[in-house]
Amino acid sequence: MLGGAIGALCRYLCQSIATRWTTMPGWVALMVINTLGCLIIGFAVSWLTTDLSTLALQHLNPLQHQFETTELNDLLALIAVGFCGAFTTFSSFALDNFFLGCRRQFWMIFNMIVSCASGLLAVAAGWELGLMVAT
Amino acid sequence: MRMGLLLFFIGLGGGCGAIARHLLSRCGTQHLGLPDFLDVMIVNVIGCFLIGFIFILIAGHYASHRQHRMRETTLSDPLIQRGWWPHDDPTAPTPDLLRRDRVAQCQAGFWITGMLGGMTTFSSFSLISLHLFHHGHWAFLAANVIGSVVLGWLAVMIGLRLGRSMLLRRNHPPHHH
Repeated sequence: MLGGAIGALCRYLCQSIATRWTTMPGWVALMVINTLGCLIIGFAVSWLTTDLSTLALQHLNPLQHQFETTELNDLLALIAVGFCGAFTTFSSFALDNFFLGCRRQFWMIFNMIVSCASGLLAVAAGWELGLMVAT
Repeated sequence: MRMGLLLFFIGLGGGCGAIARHLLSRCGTQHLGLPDFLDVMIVNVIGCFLIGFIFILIAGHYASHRQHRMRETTLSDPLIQRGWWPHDDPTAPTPDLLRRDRVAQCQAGFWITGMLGGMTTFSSFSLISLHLFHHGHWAFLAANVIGSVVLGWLAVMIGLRLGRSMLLRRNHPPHHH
């Protein structure tokens, strides 16, 4: 719960500061924030699960329920998931997409594609970083 | 003082949202037997619906009842017409959009930035997508990404429309003769 509270606070502060001090529109700020959050969660989860005994668990099939039941370093992982989960947001992303779709359809498609792509790249990069740090 | 109160509400909402997400996805995993990506997708879509619904309720409520204070906000136009771009940036964080009305700002901060922002997550969605990618489940990866984005967009639209019709029905109740 604490991770969630801090995550939401950080997100609001980052968005507020970004929109007031720079010229980027709100949705670009959110895209940057989401990407950053993906980077952090990729790093955190791979760093925390890279334990010799749990390396095998990384290869578990994500279609089954293993993701939630792996023996992660409980407290830190929960904070990572709690913080990153609240730091990134999908609902504001979708709301931004809707408002962009009202007048600026190109930027809506841009937001959708680039947000998802950079999020994926960020998790991958974070994952690799976590592996490098842990070994 | 005002900023502090807003930050308190945002933090509170964020905590509640994270707990809600945890409970919902655990319920989905244990009781419904859903795979992880479907859990996160459902929680995200529910959050998207709620953000559309709650956003228009908050903005519409405070716009119609406190016209004099809302005059300078970006939401002073009747919410019946969508899209006030490019005069203002509707994608700015919602508490900043409603900054003229403290109660509206705190409400928006708690429900939207806090609760829904904490309940929906982009990072878990990306992490699970990465896992799907690593394991080569291309179909599920595509379903996850496209499904989340498109269904979320649709949910926002449905939420906005439902909220709007609720507001209209409340402000202009139909007359039965």
